[in-house]
Amino acid sequence: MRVLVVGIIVAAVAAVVAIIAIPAAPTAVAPSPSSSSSSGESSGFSDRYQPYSVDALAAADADDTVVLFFSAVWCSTCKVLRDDIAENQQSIPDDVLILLVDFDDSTELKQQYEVVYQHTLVQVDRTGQGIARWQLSRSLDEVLATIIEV
Amino acid sequence: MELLPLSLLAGILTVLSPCVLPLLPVILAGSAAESGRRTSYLIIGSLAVSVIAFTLLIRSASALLGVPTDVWLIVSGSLVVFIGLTLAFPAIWERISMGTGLQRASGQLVDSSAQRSGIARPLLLGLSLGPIFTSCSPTYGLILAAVLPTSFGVGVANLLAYTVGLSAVMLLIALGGQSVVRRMKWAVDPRGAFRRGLGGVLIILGLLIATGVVKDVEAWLVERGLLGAVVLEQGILDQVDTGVDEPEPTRLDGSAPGPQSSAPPSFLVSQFPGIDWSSADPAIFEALSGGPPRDGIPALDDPAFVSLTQVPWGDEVQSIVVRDGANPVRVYPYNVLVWHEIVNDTVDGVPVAVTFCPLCGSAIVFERTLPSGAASTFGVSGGLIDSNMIMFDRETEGLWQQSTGRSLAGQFVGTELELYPFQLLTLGEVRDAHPDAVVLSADTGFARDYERNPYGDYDDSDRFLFAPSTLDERYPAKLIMAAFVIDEQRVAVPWLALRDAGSLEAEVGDATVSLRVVDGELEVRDGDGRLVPFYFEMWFSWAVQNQQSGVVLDPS
Repeated sequence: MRVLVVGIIVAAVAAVVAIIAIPAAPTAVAPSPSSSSSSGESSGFSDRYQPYSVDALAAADADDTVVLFFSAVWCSTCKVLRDDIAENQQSIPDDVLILLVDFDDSTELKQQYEVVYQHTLVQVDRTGQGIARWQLSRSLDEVLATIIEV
Repeated sequence: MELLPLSLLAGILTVLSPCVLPLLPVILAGSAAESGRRTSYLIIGSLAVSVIAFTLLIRSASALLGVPTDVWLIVSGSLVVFIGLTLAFPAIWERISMGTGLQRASGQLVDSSAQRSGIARPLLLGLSLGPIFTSCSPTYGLILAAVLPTSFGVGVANLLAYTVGLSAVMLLIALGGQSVVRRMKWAVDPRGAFRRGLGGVLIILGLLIATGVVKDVEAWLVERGLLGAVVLEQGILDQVDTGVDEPEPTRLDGSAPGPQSSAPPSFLVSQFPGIDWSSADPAIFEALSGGPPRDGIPALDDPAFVSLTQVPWGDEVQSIVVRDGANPVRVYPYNVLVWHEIVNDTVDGVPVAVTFCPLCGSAIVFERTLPSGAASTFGVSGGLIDSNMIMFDRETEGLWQQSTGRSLAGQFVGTELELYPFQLLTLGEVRDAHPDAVVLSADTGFARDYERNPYGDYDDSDRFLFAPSTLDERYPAKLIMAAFVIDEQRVAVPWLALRDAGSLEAEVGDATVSLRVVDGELEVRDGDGRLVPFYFEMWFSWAVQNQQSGVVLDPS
């Protein structure tokens, strides 16, 4: 049992060190959807589909529907949706803006919208006020169909 | 529960996915380093417990959301490094055990600590991986997103099934690793180089986890399209009826249709002080003020009638037409009704209320005899529910919804007014069919411009004054429906289409209903040939009340 006790102490120390050493995740920084080395192929963004940033959200029109797509780089189901959105960007309506949020880097946003799953979509208004939250959409069409009329 | 076997299968398939990458080598190295099958069971068992515990914990304790992902990686990684150290440097491990000073007689020391560490180390190894295991299985996601929130018990059952599947494969891998090691005699020595080497491997793996490199490798694999069993599993999910409904999005803005308001609106409370609101139908709590107060739109109580020739209004004006026994038919044109909404009258000896709600195009004639047997006149309360007028009876001051005829507050809550038969005709049709008819006079005692519609082009435009709570898009919102109730089933038929078709026979539940339109006059009969009273209403307004259980008959 001593190993357990020591192990727990190690874990606790590591946690404390980690919390102190890691500065609060800068949520304003635009995360890249793919590791930097492979940003070439399918990650193309447009003015309707961008990495999340405070500015990108604020730049939305008052009538725009904004969807935050929380996605982890290691999440396979997210990857399926990321690819589908990237491929069909031209079919995103003019009043819809999809912002990609890195699940692993966005602690504050996760807290704000209570996002617990790596593949989550949150509909917000341009001020960031949450409107609706859902998980696991597989395609752009599914995302657009789930958007709630306000 | 059809999901259970699928959850088990999903757990098994997960082992093919990139997201188990941090687990697999750690489990393999960790179990190979220990002797005895029991340690494998311990590692996998504690891993399973840890996975379930963290899954539930993170969902329930939103405070944990504030913990950055990196912290979990560092905690887990450190534990793995620590375990690796105890294997690579057994001497250090001994010193830690000694240093804690808790041991009893020195003679027992070696034995007991060996045995204890034999249990504790695998336990710790399994537990350490729970915080960082995030499944990429779509089934697991479905359990989390759709099953757990609706039924905690079923959700946990599926979570268990998933974990059992995952653990079973992991256990096979762990036992396989051990049996390979057992064949290599030289590796069994607990102080041997092989064991130390495995400790070294664990240290490296732990560092890879703690620094997040493992996640980068996962991301690299996923980016390259190595999605593991996800596509296969999603295919199965699509084929099989899981019995799980697609969950509705969770509303975050408080405008959810969820908890309804539980207090009556203050404008009704102040104007109807005698009502006992505790017994009221909660539907009344959603009422809005239409603008004019109680009786602000004045109902007519002693209507005057004139002959058809004495009114100047055009042939196109819609009118409610009621037979009056042997007397000439009585005509209530919309251009007058739109200003008064209710005419309290007596036809053929029956006290009736001729009602018209301009915002939802509902024309209905009720008998104004209350369930108590007393005849009452009705007035306009000023309240609206989904654009529909709320009437009140002057006898008891109870509130009634016009489109349903149902009492929502007062001593008759839940009862309904009886419908009285009438026809919806234009003045032109009346002039042709009933030249002797009498028409509601413009001399109502109120100064109103009956040539003008105060609602403008409301009937023909797409706009609303009060947006309906739901819009059923099967028909244009303001299309006029003929509506009736047969066998307790509410039925609607597009009125103009029915007029064009002339007749319609249909089965509604167990009842047969036949409709016939002759010269613009509608006749609805049930299977026994009895006349069924009907009324008219805009589609959106009928659908708001009857979208779920109402039946629409379409003649086209």
